[in-house]
Amino acid sequence: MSFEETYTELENIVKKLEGQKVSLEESLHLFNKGIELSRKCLEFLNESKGKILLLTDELNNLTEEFKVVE
Amino acid sequence: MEKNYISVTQFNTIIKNIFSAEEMLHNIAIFGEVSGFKISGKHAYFNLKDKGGVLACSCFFYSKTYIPKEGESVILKGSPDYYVKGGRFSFKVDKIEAVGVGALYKQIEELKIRLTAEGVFDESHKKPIPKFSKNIVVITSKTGAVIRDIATTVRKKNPVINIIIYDVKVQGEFASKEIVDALNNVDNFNYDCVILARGGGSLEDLMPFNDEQVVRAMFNLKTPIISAIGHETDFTLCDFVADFRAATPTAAGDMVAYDYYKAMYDIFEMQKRIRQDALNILDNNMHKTKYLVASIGSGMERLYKNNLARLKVSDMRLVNSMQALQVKREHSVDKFITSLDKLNPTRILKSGYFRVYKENLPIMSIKNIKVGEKINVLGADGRLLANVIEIMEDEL
Repeated sequence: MSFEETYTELENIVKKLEGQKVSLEESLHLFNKGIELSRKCLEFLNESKGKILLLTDELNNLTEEFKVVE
Repeated sequence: MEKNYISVTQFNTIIKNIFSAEEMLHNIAIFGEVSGFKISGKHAYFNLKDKGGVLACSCFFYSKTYIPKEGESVILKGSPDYYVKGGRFSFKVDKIEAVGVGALYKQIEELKIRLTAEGVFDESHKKPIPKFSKNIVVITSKTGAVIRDIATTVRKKNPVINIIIYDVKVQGEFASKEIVDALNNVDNFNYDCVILARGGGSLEDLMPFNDEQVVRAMFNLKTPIISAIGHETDFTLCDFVADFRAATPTAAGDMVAYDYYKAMYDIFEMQKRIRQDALNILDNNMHKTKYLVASIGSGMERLYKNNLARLKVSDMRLVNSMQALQVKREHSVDKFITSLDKLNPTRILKSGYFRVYKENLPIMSIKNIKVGEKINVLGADGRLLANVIEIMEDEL
């Protein structure tokens, strides 16, 4: 599942809970599911942040090397 | 007065007749040197002289005959004439013929006119002299100073050009044939340029370079050719047909050799410029790339931050809605308890009400009680026994 898909599912759960028309058991189930989805989204984001930093670092290094060649 | 005289006109006429009658003097050829050649209208007047004498000459319609230079030796053809009106004797010239150098000039002039008419000297036939020659051939006498002058001049400017010497006779009766052979020969070797050269000399010496065959061989040459014959003031037909006429052999050397040191410098400068241009382009692109890299980085970071913000909002909503649900549920349970509580009889008693019993039966109306009767009163924290003293009925 992608970040967007995970996030959309999280949003749907939030909407359902905000509608307040759920039973206690269901609401607990939804809440747990929501927390789990939110954690997944955060993992996605942290992973992507790491990748972004790594790639921009690499690119910066490349352009710096380029300058040395000159 | 006795008439023992004649008039000037009569005398002059007699003189004129004497000259006219002497046929021996008619159409006579006289050799001498031209002096004081003057043109007046269509006629020319001059003196013909030698060491011993001077002869006044007049030439009517001079343009139909050869025009001599001052001091030139010529042969005049004509007849003596005496001018009655002016009382002057002159030799009436019908034809002037050049001899010696004059004859050579005339011969050259005629050839020049003929070849010009043929188009041999046309500018359109002239080939450009290569700017950067590698192999040049000099057709000249290897014994003269000419080849040394050319080689020295070339070497001053250029240490790499190959100078090939093609030895020929440059004067005398075999010169023109040798030059023609040389010209035909050098065309087979892909030389960049030919120099035909000779030092200064008399007109007779330079005659091979006015030779028709030499001129034609030069005209037919595929290799560009520079002529360098004699001194600056000498002109030969070779100069007219050559692709370039150098005033002197030194000038020819200067013309044919490119400045090697300047060329090296120019090439070096161009290399530097090209290198700098390339570096500039590289630099520009690097800046663009860096900017893009930064844009990508910041774009990605923005996207990350946006997603994180979205997630935080969702989390908050998740927790909030769950909390709201909890609060709602708790609230409804409280309400229920409250409702239940309301129904609890002790709760009513607690608020200060008392319940009245008679003989353990609750009394709902005053009508069931009489004055003096004993009643039990139940409160929240205990009970009491009371006597009824008075009963008042209220309108409710």
